[in-house]
Amino acid sequence: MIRKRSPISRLVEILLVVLTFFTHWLIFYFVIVTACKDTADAARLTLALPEDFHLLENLQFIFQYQHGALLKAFKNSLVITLVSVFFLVLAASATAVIMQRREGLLSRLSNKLIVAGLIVPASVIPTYWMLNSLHVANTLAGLCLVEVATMFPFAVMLYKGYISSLPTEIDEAAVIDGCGSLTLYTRILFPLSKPITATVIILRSVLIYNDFENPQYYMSGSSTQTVQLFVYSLKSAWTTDYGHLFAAAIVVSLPLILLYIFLNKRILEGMTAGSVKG
Amino acid sequence: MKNRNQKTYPLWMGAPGLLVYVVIFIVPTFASFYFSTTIWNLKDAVFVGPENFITFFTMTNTRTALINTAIFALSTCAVKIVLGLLLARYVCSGIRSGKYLKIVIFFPYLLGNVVVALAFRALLEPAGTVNQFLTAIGLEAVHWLTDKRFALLSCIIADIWKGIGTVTIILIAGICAIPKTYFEAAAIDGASPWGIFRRITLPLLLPSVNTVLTLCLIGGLRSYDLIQALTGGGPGYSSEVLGTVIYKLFARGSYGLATAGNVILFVAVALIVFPLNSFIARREAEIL
Amino acid sequence: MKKKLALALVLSLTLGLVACGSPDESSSGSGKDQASASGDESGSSDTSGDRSEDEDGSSDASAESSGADGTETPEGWNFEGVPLNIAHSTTGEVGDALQAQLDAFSELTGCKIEVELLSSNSEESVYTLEVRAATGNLPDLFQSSIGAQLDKLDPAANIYDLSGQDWIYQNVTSSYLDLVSDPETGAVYCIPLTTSNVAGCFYNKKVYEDLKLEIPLTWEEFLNNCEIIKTQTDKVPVVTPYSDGAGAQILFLSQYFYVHQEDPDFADKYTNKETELHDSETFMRGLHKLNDLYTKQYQSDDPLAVSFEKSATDLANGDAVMTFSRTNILSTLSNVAPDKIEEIGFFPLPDTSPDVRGVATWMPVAWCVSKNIAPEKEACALALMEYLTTGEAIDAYCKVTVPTGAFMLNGVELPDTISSAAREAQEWVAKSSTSVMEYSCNIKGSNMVTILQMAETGEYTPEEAISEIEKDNAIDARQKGVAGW
Repeated sequence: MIRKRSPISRLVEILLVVLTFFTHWLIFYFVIVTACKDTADAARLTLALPEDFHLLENLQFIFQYQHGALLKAFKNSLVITLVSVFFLVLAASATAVIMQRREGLLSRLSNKLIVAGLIVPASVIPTYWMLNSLHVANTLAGLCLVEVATMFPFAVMLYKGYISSLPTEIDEAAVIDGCGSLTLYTRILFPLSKPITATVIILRSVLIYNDFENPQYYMSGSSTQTVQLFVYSLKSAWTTDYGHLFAAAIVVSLPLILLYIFLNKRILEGMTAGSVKG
Repeated sequence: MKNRNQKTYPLWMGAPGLLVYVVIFIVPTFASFYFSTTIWNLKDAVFVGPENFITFFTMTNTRTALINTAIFALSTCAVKIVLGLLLARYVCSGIRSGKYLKIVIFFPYLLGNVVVALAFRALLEPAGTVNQFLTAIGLEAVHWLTDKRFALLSCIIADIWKGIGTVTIILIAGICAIPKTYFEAAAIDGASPWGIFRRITLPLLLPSVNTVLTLCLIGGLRSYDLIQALTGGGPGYSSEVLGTVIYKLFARGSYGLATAGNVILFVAVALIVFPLNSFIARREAEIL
Repeated sequence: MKKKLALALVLSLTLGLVACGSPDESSSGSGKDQASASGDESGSSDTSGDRSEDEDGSSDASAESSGADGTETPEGWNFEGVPLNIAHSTTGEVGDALQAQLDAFSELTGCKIEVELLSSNSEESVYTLEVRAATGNLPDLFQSSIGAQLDKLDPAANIYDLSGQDWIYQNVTSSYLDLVSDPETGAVYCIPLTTSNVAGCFYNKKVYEDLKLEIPLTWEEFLNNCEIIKTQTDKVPVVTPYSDGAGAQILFLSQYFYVHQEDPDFADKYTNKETELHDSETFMRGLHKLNDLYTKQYQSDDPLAVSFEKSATDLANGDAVMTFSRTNILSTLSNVAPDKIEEIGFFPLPDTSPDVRGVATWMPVAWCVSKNIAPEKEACALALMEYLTTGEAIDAYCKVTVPTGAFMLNGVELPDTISSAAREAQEWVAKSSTSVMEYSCNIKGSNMVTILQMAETGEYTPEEAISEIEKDNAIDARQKGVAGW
C-alpha cells in the first residue's frame, strides 16, 4: 500500500491477533489439555496442566472401546468419503460438460433442477423410503448415493462455471483431430478442469467426512458407523467424561487437521473458488 | 452444427449423475409433498389431507421452533457477515498478520459439528471454563446451556465461531479482487475510510455478499446437528429449531408429520432465499 | 421342520447346562470352571471343525452327530465361522457384561459375533430399530424394549417366534414371558437382556441417621424430611438426574404404581380413550410431586444440568441426600464411589397413605431374533438365545458387573454381592409392585421428556403440564393410527 499505516491500524492488528489467542488457541489448548487428563481431573474443566499425563491411557481406552468400534468407524468414514468424492467428481464433471456445451430444453431444465438443489433442503424420510425401495437403506452404498446426490448441484455448478471459460475452439480442434466424445472428455476437458477437481475434492471431502445428519438419518449402529456418529454416541454414553471424549474428538479430527497443516493454502484457495453464486 | 453437437456431447455422458440426483434428491422431494399429507409408517400411507400441517402449526414446540429458526438463521447470518466484512476489509489492507488470521479463523470449519458442540459444552457447563473465568473476574456465573434465556444464544455463538471463517475467506477474495487503483483514486479525492467502504468496497463486493448471504441463510435455516449435539433443543423448547423438531418426530415414528415439517422447512427456505437472491441480483445489475 | 426337530434335540441336551448354573454357586468359583471348560472346548474344536465344513448347508448334521456322541451340550454347539450380527444399545459396565456373555458364547461355539452399538440414548435406539423393522433391515439379534413398545416393531412380521423352544419356558420366568408373548397366537418374542429396574428413592443412610430422619411413609412426611435437610444443613435434599431423558421421567412414571392400585384398567381405558389423564387425581399427583420439589426449592440450583454421574456422586458423598431413580443408578454409583455403595438405602416413592406403598418396575429390556434371519444363521442365533438364559451366561455377566435387579430367569438368584439398596428394592418388587404404564399403553408423545423437564423447573404448572402431555400424546396416537383417536 502506498499509504502509511496509522498507529491505530497497527493497534487493531495487534488486538486482533491477541483476540485469536482467546477465541481460538485457548479453546484448542483446553481441548488438548483436557484430553491428557484422567476422568476426575478432566471433570474440573480447568485450564490447568494435567496432574498426570493421561493421554496415552485415554487414547488406548477409546481405541479399545466396544472392540475397536473407532477403527471400524474410521474405515467407514474413509470409504464413504473416498467413494462419494470419486463418483461425485466423475458424475458432476461429465454432467457439467454436457449441460454447458449442449443447448436445448433438456439443458435448461436440468439447470433449473440443479440450481434448486443448491438451495432447498433434502427431504429426509422420503429419501430413506427411496433408499429402502432400492434396497440400499442402512448400507454404506446407500449413504454414498445420498452424499453424491446432495453434493451434486454444487459440484456441477462449479464445473459448469469453469468449463464455460474454456473456449469451444479447443473442443472443435480436438474433434477435428479425431477425438471421440469420450476422449474429448477424458483427455481434454476433464484434465483442463483440474483446479476445479481439486476444489471439489478438498471441500466435499471435508463436508462428507464431517457429515453427521445424513449418517444419523440413513445409517445406524456401529458396523456402519461413521466417526462423527461414534463421537456422538460417546457423548450420550459418557456425558461428562471429557478426558475420554476429547481424546476421541481429537483423534477423529486429526486427519483433517493434518490435511490443513500441509494444504492450508490449497484449501483456502479452494474455498474461494468454491464460492459459486447460488 | 446441431448434429455435431449431439455427437460430441452425447446425453448419456451426463445421464449417470443426473439419474442419481433425480432419483435420490428430486423424486423424494416431490414425494415429500404427498407423504406430508398422510399418516405414514414407511410402508402404508393413509391420506389425511392437510391434517399434518394443522397439527404441526398447533404443536407448542413447533411455534417456538419456527421463531427460533428465524432468530438463529438471521442472527448468525448478520453477525458472520458484519464481522466477516470488517475482518476481510482489514486483512486486505495488507497487514502482516493477514495470512495468520485467515488460517486460524478458518480452522474450525474443518471440525465436525459434533466435535465443536462437545468443546463448547465443556466450556459452557455450569462449572465450566467460561463460568470459572466469569466468577474469577467478579461476574455472575451463567447457566449457558440449561437457562432458557441463554441456550439459543450459546448455539448461535458456537455456530458463528465455526462458520465465520468461511464467510471471511470468501469476502477476502472478493475485496482483494477489487482493483487497488479504485481505492487510491478515492483516497486522493479525499474520501474517508468509511466513505470508501460504503461507496466502493460494498457495491463492488455485492456478488460475494450475495454468495455468503445465501450460504449463511440456507445453512442457518437448515441447521440441525450443532444444536442437536449442544442442547438437543432444550431446556424446554428454548433452543428447538425446525431441524431438531423434525428429527424428534422422525425418531418417534411420526413419519408423515415429520415430512410435513420438512415441507415447511422447504417452503421457508424457498420463500426467503429465492426472492432475496433475485433482489440482490437486481441491485447488482443496477450498480454495474 | 426336520431342522427344528433336530434343534430341539440339541437344545434339550443342553438343559443339563442350565441346571449347572444353579443359584448357590457363586459367580467366581463355577464361572472359572466353566470358563476353563469352554477353553478346552475351543481347543478341541479342530476336530469338530471338519464337521462344520460339510454341515454348512444343513444344521441337522451337526445336531445328529452330537446327539450320537451323547456328549455334553456345548459339543453340539459348533457354529465355527457363522457370522451373527448383533445390535444393542447398552453401554457402561452392563454393556461390558453383555460383551463378556457374547465373547463367552463365541468362544464356546466358534461363531463370529459382530456387535453394533445403537445409540445409547434409550429413546433414539428404539426409533432406530423401528425404522429398521419397518424397512426390513433388522440385525440378526437385537435389543428391544418390551411390552406395548414391542408392538411398534410389529413382532408378528419382524420377530422370530421362540414359542417352539422348550428351554424358554424352563429358563425364563412366566411373568416376563407374559409381557413378551402374543396372547392370541401364543408366540414368544423375547428373552431378558439385563436385569429388571425398580424405581424409587435412593437416599444417603448416614445423613438420615445424623439428622435422625425416619423413612417417609407419605409424601407429606417426605416433604418434611426435605424441609429438615434444607433448613438444618447445606445439603441438597433431592438430586434427580433431570438432564437425562430417562432420569427426568422416573418420578412421574413411578407414580403409576398408585394409579394402577386405584384402577387396574387405567392404561387400557386411556388407550381406548375412555378416560383422560387429568381426570385421575392420583395420576396428577405425580406432576404435583414434581412441582412440590420445585416450588419448595428442594432441588439443586440448576436441576437440568444434573447428570446420572452427578446425581450418584452427590448422593454418595452426602452433598445431596435423596434421588429418584431406578436401580440402575447403583451401577453408576459403583463406578463413581464403590466404597460408599452400602451407605445408600432405598424406599418407594411415597403417596398419600402410609399403608399403600409400592414401586414401579421396568422389566429387563429384551433380546430378540429377527424373523428374516438367514437360514444358515438360525440355529446359531437360537443357541445364543438359549445360552443367554443359562446360569453360565449369568456368571459371565456377574463377573463383570454386580447386577442391580432381577434377571427374570428361573433358578438364577442374585449373588450375595449385590448392594443392600438393590436387595431392598427387590423385596419391594416381591411385596408390592407394578410395571410402568408404557408396558400396557404405547401412546407417548415426542415431547414427554421436555414437558416434564419444564414441569420440574416450574415453567409449567401441573395443570399446564398435563394439558401439554395430553396434546402431545394425542398427536402421537393419531400418527400411530391408534383406534378411536
